[in-house]
Amino acid sequence: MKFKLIEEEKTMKMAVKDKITAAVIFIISIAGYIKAGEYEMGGASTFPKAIFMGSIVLSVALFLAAQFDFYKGKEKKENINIKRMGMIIGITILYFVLIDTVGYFIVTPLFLFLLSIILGYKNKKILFLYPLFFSIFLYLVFRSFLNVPLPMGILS
Amino acid sequence: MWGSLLEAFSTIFSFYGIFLMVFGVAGGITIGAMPGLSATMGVALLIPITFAMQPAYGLILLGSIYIGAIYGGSISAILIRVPGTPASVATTLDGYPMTTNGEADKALKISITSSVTGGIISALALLFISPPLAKIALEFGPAQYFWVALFGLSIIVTLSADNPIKGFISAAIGLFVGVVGMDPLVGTSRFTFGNVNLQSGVQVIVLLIGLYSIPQVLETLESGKLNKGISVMKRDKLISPKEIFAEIKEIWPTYLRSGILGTLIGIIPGAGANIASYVGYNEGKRWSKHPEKYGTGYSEGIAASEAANNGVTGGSLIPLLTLGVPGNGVTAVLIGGLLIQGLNPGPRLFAQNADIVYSFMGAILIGNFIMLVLGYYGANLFVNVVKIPTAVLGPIIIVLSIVGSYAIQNSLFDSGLMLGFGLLGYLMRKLNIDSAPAVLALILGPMAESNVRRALLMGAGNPAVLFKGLINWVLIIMIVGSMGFAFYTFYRERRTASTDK
Repeated sequence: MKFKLIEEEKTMKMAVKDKITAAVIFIISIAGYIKAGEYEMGGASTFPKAIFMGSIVLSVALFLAAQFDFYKGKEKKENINIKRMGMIIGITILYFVLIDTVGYFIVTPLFLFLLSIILGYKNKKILFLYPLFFSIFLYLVFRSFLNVPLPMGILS
Repeated sequence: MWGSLLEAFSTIFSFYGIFLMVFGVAGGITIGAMPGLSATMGVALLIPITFAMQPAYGLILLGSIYIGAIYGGSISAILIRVPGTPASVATTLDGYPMTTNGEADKALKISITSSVTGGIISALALLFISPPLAKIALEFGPAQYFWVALFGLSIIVTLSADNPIKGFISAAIGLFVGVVGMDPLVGTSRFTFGNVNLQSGVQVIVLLIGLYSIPQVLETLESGKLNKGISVMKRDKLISPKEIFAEIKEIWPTYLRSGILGTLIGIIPGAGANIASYVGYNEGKRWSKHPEKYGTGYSEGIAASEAANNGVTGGSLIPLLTLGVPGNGVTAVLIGGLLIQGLNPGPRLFAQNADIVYSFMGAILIGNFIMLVLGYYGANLFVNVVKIPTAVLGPIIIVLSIVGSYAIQNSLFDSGLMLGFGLLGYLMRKLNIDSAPAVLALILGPMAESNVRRALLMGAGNPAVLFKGLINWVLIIMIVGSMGFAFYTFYRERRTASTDK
């Protein structure tokens, strides 16, 4: 009995997520449909309007499917370390922001080194060597082999 | 023809010719395996190098890069679930599950053997039956392209067998991203919100890397086991050639079917490897003795996708060389490679430069055999990627994704967009919404829209123009059949599941 209740609770959780998703898609689709109306010239609005109309229908279908438990899919057991995920996303965004101003060659090895430490990698030799070697390897592939410039930042 | 072919083989089998094929195939595999780089980019970036070479050797190099890059995308698709090229998205469906099941070596070897099979079939078609096949390309106009795009989109039903509603939602996201930018017919800016970077639309590769690479890394790093690799090999020894041969004996019809399908799809200008891999996968599943195994880590699924996407390589060169009409993005860039050598693609090319053209076509054939050796034995090396601790591999993939998406147009905006799609893709995964339909819809949505509008313009607004002609009706029947079969399979599986309960 207790096991069954826990299973039902888990199934409801995805149903709740689906209902919220359906509501969000519904609202965005209405806004998108209105915005698409600005592109009437030459039939440019037809396809976008059709997409948003379809999305409205899909959002209703998703809501109803969640309400009546139409898809009895398996619930994945989530074991997310929110703090770690936040740090990973934050440091990635920081890397992206700094790569242009500071430069690929400084920011990339630092990013690789720091993120691996945050993720708990302990082998010191690899921790110091791989960021350098990988950054050089990638630079050679893009710059020398493919002739694609990479942002040099303060080294330019 | 035979005289030119013999002369061409003497060029191909020279020391320099073989060196260029080995270098080109190896370079192409590397380019294809790296998220953010594509066959189109690789060929485009290396065209200037070929300027200094003799025409035959320049084209040998470019052709080798092309075939290597299309295969290379499957390596990252299988090992880390990040398709190296859009053509390898379908390969992730069975490739990555095989890796997590400890069968990465088997997956890579099925991939290389099926890719080479598809490549050889298309190369033979290119060499011996180009002219009649090229006539098919001429029959395709806007109305036919519209139905081809819809046929590709109908595969979404198969891809989202577990939950079609969520599959279509994913497709709607892709379709929406496809309308961002300038309208293809009247030039109106749509959904750019005044941002000049969005005027030319969103690159497929930006969405691809975003929806696959970042979510995959984030999901892998969620758990605590970060000092270990992605998976542990099932056995101590790598799979032997005898075992691989036994596996191929079971699924060889899929090798042939997908290779032929890929060749035929490659002939249709604008279709390309991206569509071929999905169609190959879909048809492989339909004709399989065990369709229920698709998506669980089934080698036939990899074969179906990879034979088809490499089958496109030769097929796409048929309209290019015979008619001067590129078959896909790569061949459109290859026109530059031909022009830079003073060659004009089209009907006169064979008459005026037969030896050079046959060198190119011969390199596509022989290059596949070289790729078989490099790829098969290289797989023993590539498979070690699964042993790299995720605390090291994860950051590497993030860097590759950001730098790779930057390299497309030398634009950090693309990198930022990629990260945005990455967070969206992560959210989609948490909501059990698959990304494959979104990528497929982004590729095919613009093709469907621009061609239906062109067809209606040509027909003075009368929709009857979409239903005229045999080719249109063949395509419509294929769409109805494909969707009908997928819905029937879905209904039958649900009925079986309820009966079992």
